[in-house]
Amino acid sequence: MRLLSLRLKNWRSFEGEHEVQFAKQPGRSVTVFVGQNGAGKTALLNAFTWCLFGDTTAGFRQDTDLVNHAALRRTGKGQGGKMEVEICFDHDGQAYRICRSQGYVRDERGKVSIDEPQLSASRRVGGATTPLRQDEVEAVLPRGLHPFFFFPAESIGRDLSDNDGASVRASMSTAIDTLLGIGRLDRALDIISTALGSHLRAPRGAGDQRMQQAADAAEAARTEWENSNQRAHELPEKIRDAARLEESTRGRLDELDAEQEAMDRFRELEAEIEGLDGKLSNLVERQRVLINQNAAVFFSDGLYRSALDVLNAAHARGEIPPKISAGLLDELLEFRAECICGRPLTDREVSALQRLREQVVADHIAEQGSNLRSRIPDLALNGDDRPSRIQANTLLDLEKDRLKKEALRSASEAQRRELLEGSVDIERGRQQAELREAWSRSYKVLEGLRNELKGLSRTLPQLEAAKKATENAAQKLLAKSAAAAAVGRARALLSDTEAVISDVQKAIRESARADVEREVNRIYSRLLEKPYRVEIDEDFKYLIADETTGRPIGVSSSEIALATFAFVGALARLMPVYSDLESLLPVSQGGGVGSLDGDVERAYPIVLDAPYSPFGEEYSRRFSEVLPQLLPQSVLIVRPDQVQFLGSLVAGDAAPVGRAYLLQLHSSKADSAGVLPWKGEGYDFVVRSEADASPRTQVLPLPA
Amino acid sequence: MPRTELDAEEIRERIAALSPESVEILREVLTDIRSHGSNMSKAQVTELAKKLASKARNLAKTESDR
Repeated sequence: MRLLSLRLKNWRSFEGEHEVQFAKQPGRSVTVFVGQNGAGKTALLNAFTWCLFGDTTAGFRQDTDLVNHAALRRTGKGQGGKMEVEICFDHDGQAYRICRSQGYVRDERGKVSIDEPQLSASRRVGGATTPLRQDEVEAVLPRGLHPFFFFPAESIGRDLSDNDGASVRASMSTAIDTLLGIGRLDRALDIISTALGSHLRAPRGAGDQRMQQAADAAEAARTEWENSNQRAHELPEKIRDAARLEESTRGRLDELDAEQEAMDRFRELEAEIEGLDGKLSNLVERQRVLINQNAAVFFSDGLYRSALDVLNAAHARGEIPPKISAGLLDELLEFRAECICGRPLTDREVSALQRLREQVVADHIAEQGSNLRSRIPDLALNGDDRPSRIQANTLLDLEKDRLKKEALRSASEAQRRELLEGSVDIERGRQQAELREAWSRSYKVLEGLRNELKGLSRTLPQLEAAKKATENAAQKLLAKSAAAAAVGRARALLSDTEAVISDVQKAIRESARADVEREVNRIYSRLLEKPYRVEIDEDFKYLIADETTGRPIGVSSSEIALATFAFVGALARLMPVYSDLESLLPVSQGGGVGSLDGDVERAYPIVLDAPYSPFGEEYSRRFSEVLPQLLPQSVLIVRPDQVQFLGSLVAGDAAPVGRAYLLQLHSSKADSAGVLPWKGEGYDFVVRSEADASPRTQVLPLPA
Repeated sequence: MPRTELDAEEIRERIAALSPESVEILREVLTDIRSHGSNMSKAQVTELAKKLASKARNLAKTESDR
């Protein structure tokens, strides 16, 4: 299949008419659209799904809000218009044109009414054009596959990060069933079974009682097989629903468990902080007492030492103990004024005595100084400072302990604050028990359904064999009766056909898992270049394992997203192969057998919105390098920040990008202006338009 | 180059082993499904079953006449 062109008329922000051609030449078959947020990228992806299926992606506009608002405003009273999306593609040598439109009209009172969407589709072979119905469009592009062929990569990344693996798997499982056309064969079996059970009964009274009993036994065996088979068909969907419920309940329980753990930790921290506060308080008190005690010792020690220095100096000078009495000198100078022999002192002798008196301290001071000097060595620490050093070390140890406990307290306090800011809700702990019970119930339901399916898988072949055996026995007896022979033969024709359809269906189911797994790994190994292998189980749940050891390995979210893309690529590559199954079945005159050989050149195109979002930088570049080899045609809708990853897709004259377009926003509010650098030129993302005009998207071709 | 694990030859042989009348039944039922789509109602299934039963009777008669 090759996309040829897309035409948009008044579709969302695409005011007026826009037409783009897709790159389709071998080797140059990648088309790129670049647009800022709000420029119409999601609208472009939805243009494909709306046109082909009448569907839009989750969260996109409702059907009544698809027409460009400016076009609606411009429509005068009594006038009308049309919104259209048209896609042209080639498939198996036939040209398809699919156009979906929605008319609108403004009545005389000014009220706008929007019509139901209309499909106009056709297929042209040679010169003849045949109109197509929706189901005929879907025969080429099955509805169940559109979330993959028109792939919102950003939302897949979000699904994976939100851990909603169940919904991704459910889509994958539906996609596989769609790919295989299993539903069609299921219906064929339903119709045949209903014909056998309700419309080809033996005529009453046509035979003996034995024949009637055989017919009843065949009917009972068929009913039992039908009921079991129907149940086996219903169970996978029920298992998926139950798995989704179990996953979500477990997720909520994990959250609550985490919350409960946080609450427990919060309480532990509170107790820790309280204990540390007590210890810190004790330490500070011990430090205070120790400092107070030792301050007196330190200070007095210093004073004593200073005093001893002063007294030693006085002693050295002979001031203490006094060699001359200050009192004797005073008496001699003031009262006696004569020497010991009674001779009056001369002026010179008086002057010398006065100078000596000035140097001699008072007797009581000298006496006290002398006493003090002899006592100080006892008062002071005799030069042994060991006790004070011990005290200082104790103080330092206390301080270290205090700092350590302070740090512990700070860490605990920070954790407590963090938990508080995380909105720990103690009340939610009470929900935990109820939720645990709900999870337990959901798990038991899931387990019960899985066991039931396993049991049915074992008994269905036995039931089918019993159905065939009783049917054969009944047919033999019917054949013996002239009146019932025709019914018996008609039943034989139908049951033979039923057996073939059943065998074909089994063969398809058995081969599908292996086919999908093989193609996924072919793509994954090209994208990843690591010895990883994607393994797909019966529920199409995939796990990534080490290729050498076969053991599951932890991979990054980018690597999981790449596996999802590999699945998308596998569908695109297998789609034409499984379409060929049709040619094996005699669906129409001339139909018969065909080949199941596939060719990557026949793979379906894929339209990827924001393809690089879930991949990370390294894998984004790798993705660009190998994409053209994986798929024969692709359309990438990228954000400006993802243009850097296009790299090898746009480099050189024969680059894989054969067509490129800028979704240029024309707006009166050029809030987020910027320039797209492209092949040496710059292109404005936003162009300022007249003041009161609505924002609109212009599709600007870029050199490719 | 993608190839399916499905054995096309086995399917061909299985269909070829059917009687022409059963192949006609198979063609009829698959063509009906193609026309009505896979998601048909219970009433549609019953209606098509009735038609198929009638076709089977006619084919059985043709077969016995042959």
